[in-house]
Amino acid sequence: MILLILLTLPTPLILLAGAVCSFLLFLALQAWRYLRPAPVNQQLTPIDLEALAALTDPEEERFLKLNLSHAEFRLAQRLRIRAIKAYVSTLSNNASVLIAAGQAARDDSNEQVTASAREIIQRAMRLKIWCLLYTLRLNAALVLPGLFSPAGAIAGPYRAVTSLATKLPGRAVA
Amino acid sequence: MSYQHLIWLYRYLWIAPHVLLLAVAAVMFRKKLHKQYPVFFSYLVFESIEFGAVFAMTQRVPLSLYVKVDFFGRIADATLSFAIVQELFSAALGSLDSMRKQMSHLLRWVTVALVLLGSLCIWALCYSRLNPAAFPDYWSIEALRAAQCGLLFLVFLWHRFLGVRMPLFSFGVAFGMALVAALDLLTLAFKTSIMLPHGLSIDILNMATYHAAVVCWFCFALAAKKNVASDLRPPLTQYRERAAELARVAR
Repeated sequence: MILLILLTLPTPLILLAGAVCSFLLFLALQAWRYLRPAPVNQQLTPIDLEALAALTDPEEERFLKLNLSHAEFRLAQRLRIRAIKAYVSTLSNNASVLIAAGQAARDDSNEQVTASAREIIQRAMRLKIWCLLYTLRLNAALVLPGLFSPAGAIAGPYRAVTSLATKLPGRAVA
Repeated sequence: MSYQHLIWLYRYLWIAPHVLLLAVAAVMFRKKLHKQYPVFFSYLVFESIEFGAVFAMTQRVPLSLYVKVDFFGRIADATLSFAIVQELFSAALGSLDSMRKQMSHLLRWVTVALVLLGSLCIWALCYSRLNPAAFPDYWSIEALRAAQCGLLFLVFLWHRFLGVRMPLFSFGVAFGMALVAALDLLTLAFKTSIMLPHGLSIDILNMATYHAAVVCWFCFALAAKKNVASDLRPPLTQYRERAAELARVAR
């Protein structure tokens, strides 16, 4: 009987049922993840910002383009992009740690701490969104290294948010 | 299970969740969660009042009027759900007003896009039916429910992207709403697409899902702390360690 009903179902209805079932599975996964006591990463991973700045320097890219053959440049560019992607991923994770730190201090009784925490959250969220967009650009550059450039200033915003965060703990303790 | 038992189950599943909604509202009020989630609190109150009105009407008014009231109730319910989703998105932002504004602008456009996409999907579904003219009123509800599922999917992704743990009550609300929206969409689509021999069973499945969602809200409201932000606050000693790390990274 059930098989007969299933055979007579219109295709869009089957697709909709499939989509809803996938959504329910996704919900179950979210609940499992939420209720499972997982350790929250509160450690920042050290990043060599000078190296990152060198990798994303447009001058260096121009130098490589002038001194290498087309095939060699494409190969070097792909290797550089992979390295930048690893850095950006670490930056993104660090931004999450900073957001969590900011959220923790957001409701502090000290107004200065609260103000710093708000600024950290805002900047870290922007950094996180920026990392996402930059990763998309890097992926495009990985496919077409001649057309898209990985050059961009990424170290600056990160430095700004981490230097703000250094002010947070001392005041919180005080 | 006999037909009589099914009717009793139907009545229980119709009345019990709405009584429990009042209990959820009471717990929220006692824990001052209504200040943090004003739209969801209004939704609970609206649902309870709407149920009271519909329940009082069942015996006294013609079926056509009852169906109309039920339909407008469903539309209001689905519309209010969009405001709750916005509340869930901004729960992660706390008191960051400028980011809240930016988020609400962005969310408005995403909602419009999802409603259009949902309408397109439901339109495709409607024209695959044997009788596309049947149940035209419910197409809009199906489209709104589809968009709601998409938005709730984004709520979970948004928190995952930010790397922050969703506040306990927010998670309960999002989970319950997603469950109701998904099952309501599916059961409405089945009911309006094909004539099933056991229409009452589908209604009971839908109502049982709503009951489960309300129980979920009740449990999460009981478990939620008064000051949610304090859950996230690490011991002050950790600040010193973090400061040292940050200084090392920023050097």
